[in-house]
Amino acid sequence: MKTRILLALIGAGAVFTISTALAQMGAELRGDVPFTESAPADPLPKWTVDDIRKMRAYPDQPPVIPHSIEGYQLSVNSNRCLSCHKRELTEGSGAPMISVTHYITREGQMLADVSPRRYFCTACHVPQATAAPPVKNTFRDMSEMGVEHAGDK
Amino acid sequence: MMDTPSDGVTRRQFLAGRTGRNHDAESAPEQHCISSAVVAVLPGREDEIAARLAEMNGVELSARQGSKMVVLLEGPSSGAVGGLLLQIAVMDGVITANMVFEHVEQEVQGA
Amino acid sequence: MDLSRRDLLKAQAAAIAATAAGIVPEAAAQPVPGGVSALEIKWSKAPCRFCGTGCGVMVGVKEGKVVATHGDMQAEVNRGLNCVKGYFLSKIMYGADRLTQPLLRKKNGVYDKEGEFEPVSWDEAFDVMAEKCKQVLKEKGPTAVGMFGSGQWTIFEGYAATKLMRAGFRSNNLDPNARHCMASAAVAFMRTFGMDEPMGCYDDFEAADAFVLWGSNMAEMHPILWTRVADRRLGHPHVRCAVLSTFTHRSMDLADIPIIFKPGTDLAILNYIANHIITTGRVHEDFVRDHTVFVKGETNIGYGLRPEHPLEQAAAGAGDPGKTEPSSFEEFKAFVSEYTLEKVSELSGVEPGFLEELAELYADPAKKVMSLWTMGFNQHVRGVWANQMLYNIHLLTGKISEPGNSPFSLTGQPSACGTAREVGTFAHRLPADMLVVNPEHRAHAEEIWKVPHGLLPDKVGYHAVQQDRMLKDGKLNWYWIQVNNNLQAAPNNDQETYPGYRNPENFIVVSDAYPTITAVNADLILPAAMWVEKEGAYGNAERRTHVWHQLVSAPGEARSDMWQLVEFSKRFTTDEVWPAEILDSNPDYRGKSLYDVLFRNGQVDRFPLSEASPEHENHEAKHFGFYIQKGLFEEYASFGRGHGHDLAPYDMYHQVRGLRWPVVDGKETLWRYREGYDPYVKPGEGVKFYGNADGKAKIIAVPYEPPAESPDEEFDLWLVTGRVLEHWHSGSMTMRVPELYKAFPGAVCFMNADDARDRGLNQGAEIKVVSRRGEMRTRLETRGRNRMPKGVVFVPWFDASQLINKVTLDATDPISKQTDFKKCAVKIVSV
Repeated sequence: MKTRILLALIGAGAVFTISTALAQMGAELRGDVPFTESAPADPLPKWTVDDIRKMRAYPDQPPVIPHSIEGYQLSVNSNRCLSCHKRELTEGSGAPMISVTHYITREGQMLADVSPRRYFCTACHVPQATAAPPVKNTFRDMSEMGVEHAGDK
Repeated sequence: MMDTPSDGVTRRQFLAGRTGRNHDAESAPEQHCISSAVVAVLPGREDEIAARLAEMNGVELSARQGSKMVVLLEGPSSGAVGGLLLQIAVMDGVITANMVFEHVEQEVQGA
Repeated sequence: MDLSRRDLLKAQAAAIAATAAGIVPEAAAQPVPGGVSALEIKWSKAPCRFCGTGCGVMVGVKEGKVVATHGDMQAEVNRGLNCVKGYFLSKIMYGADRLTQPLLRKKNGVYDKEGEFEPVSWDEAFDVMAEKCKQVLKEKGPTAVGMFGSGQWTIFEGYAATKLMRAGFRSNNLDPNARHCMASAAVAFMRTFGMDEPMGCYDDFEAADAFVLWGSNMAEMHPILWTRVADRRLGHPHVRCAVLSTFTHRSMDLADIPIIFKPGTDLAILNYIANHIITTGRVHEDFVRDHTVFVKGETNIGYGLRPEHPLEQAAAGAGDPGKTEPSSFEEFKAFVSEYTLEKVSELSGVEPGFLEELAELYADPAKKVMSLWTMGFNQHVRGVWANQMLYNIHLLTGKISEPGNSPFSLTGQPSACGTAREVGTFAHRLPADMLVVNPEHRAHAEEIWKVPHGLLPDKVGYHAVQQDRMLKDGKLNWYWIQVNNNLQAAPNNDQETYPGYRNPENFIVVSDAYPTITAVNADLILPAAMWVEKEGAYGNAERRTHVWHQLVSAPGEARSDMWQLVEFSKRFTTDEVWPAEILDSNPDYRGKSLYDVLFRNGQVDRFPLSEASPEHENHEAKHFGFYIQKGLFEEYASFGRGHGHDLAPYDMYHQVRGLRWPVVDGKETLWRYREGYDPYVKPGEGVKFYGNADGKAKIIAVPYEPPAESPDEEFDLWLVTGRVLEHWHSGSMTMRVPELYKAFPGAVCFMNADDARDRGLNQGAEIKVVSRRGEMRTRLETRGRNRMPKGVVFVPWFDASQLINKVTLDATDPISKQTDFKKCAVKIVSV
């Protein structure tokens, strides 16, 4: 895994280097394995299970799930996620309450319970494997853009 | 759904004691780490900070434009380079120091 | 580490960081406003970059970078919601390996197919590319040049491509990757209604009493539409949901009628339902009499393999697979009568009770039914039939073209409808449903394009799979690929695709934002601007055309595909590419560049720069000196206005969250073919399928026929390929978003636990998936989100490190030429 990542980055670097011939340039997501060869498959992912909330990249981002959801049932009759994250159950579970946006219907009406359109949690919220991505992302957090907020000092 | 480990400690308590990034810390001895970072500094302090960066071991100033600088960091491990980056990040006059690229060269190349 | 290597790595590290910091001469410097405005984010609307649903998103920009996105509350499609991919759009443009300059394979300073990639200027890239193109045109003619485009092209890009290829190079060898995706749906619409695309729209979700999913895992692939299904099903107790598939997936979680059938037997189930409707006396007789005609289709039509393949040799009907002959209700009734409940239950492996319940959803006149399908139907060796057989059921019961009664074909790519189908970037199509083989259609296109009569080629070009075969066989020698990753996506790619790319006779160009597997196996790579780095227009699955502004600048020298196409056209003169006889009879065109005749024709260049938004950057408009996007759009729109494909004036689209065509007198059309909803149906006509000259839709009698390859003793399992929620478009964007990568980091082979145990394989074991064509290594998953029946395995194809398409079969529907990625035979062995 480590080697693959590193080789991928050599490729990435080469693209930006004006005068260097791109000798070993490979598709970053394949590491250095040529098309005609069969790459060894990484083991099944290990999931982040530390229960530590991960900062969102921007306020509108759905939070990722810091625990495993293997074996969770999500069907018409049962929703394992809501059994901890639903408002009425958060006191006992200690889990964060699902956001108020989830109680609003398509028409903008506030409901007493979670809107059915938000019922399938995994459409937006995903667990995270511990594997490092093969390609880095240069997305910049808006807070790094020289913004001073009220209350910073 | 907070699964409770067999020793009776809650998972949150158990895990809170761990540092977040321990799975990254590989300790193969034969390594050389090369990284680059973008440093944003307060306007007016560029020259002063550039001078201080130049004095640091394992740090090389590679480019400058306005209040942004590109530095190269070298060290025997990812942790050592991380330490350099931290030193820069906490310098007076530095707004942020973000790592962009990291390459760890293993002396014995694995397949 | 030796010194030179260390220096090289340091140079790379510095270059990447400089790019990230914006310290490069090419990157446009953005002013940083101070004070309160430093907190502000500039928000603009855009459609999502991913699937055919066409969700609206709001894109937040600060200091020239996208810093946030969220679901657009004003967009009717999604009303503020996004799926996990949509919520992470902010990061798709910022993979560290963005391509920022053209790269050409070189040896000793000159182009060499066996050389290594070196950065070159756009001038040098286009020089070599044009020289190769001219050489091939001169030696072999227009049939030896080709282009493979995309349902991710903006409308302008697809339109510029179709003009350049057909009217410029006089080649119909233009096809979109949408061929792999919904060609069967498009062809079936034409064969049944004489017009492409759904009659209904997403408003059907809130009006239906029952939903039937035919080969579509909407919970993962169209999650936002699934929220509308879930909302309706969970919010209204009488609503029912049936899900048909060859394995159990997330959409089954909502199913009242879960149906797992044996691969390919959906055809028999469809005919059984028709039979059930007839035998229980529930045919809507007035509707059938007034609005339908019956035909019988050719049978034993083969599998679209190479003609020498034994299966093709044995297929008596392969010569003209699309042939039909007139028939009658009585004949149809007799034809489907053999599809009895017992027989179909036995063939499909589905319990009779479930089949009856399913048939009753359609037969019950009181239930409004919305049928939905995607790849399960379309990627099917009988995909056109499957689509048409479903229309049979909706037509027999009259459940069509009204709120809630809706056979609805979903699409996979954001502009499969808007660009691939409506613009007509298929090898056989022209804009607005016109065909290259029809002389009147060609003449009409020549007139609108203001090019000489007789210029447009009259033979259907090579479709996607055929392009690969012709590249390999050395008959297609100059090939330009834009916005797709075909080397990863194409079936049987180790045998049929890769050899063509590396064939020494061929010159392969790939335009992309990232170094995909396709790009790195090309000869020239052109860096592309993507999504909101350019002004764009997409058309979604419900006929909604949606336009956006350029919001940020592309990195380095990356340029939009439209810029590339139009700029490249400057390198050709009519004398170089048009036949002498056409120029002799049209001397005014002599000595002009293709840019002059195609894009400076008084139409495309009609709108001045001043009409473009002063608040937004528009790189292309500035470069060419006129509002080129508006010019291309308005010329294109003139094909459809007054012919049932009316688009609104371009500027209007910047103000709204998309409009569903036909847009007549500023009003969009929600349900086509029905009086009161569709302005093309006159008072008193009720229902009129005006795409066909007689105003009637066709009900077709076609049988169940088996797949091209079924499991046998050695290759003893069915392989189904597909997607996962978190990744889209071969993973080229989603695998570069850390959160999406970590949500599903690598492909796996989903398998039944008993099947695994029988082979002595454990959960998580490294295995090989092997077919007669190739193999790949992956990991065994017997749990997780998909639960496989015995005898069937599922592997998603997004992972470039696991090329499952080395294993798949290049069998296509012989009518639509769309590949069947859902049915071939494999074995699983331990590594």
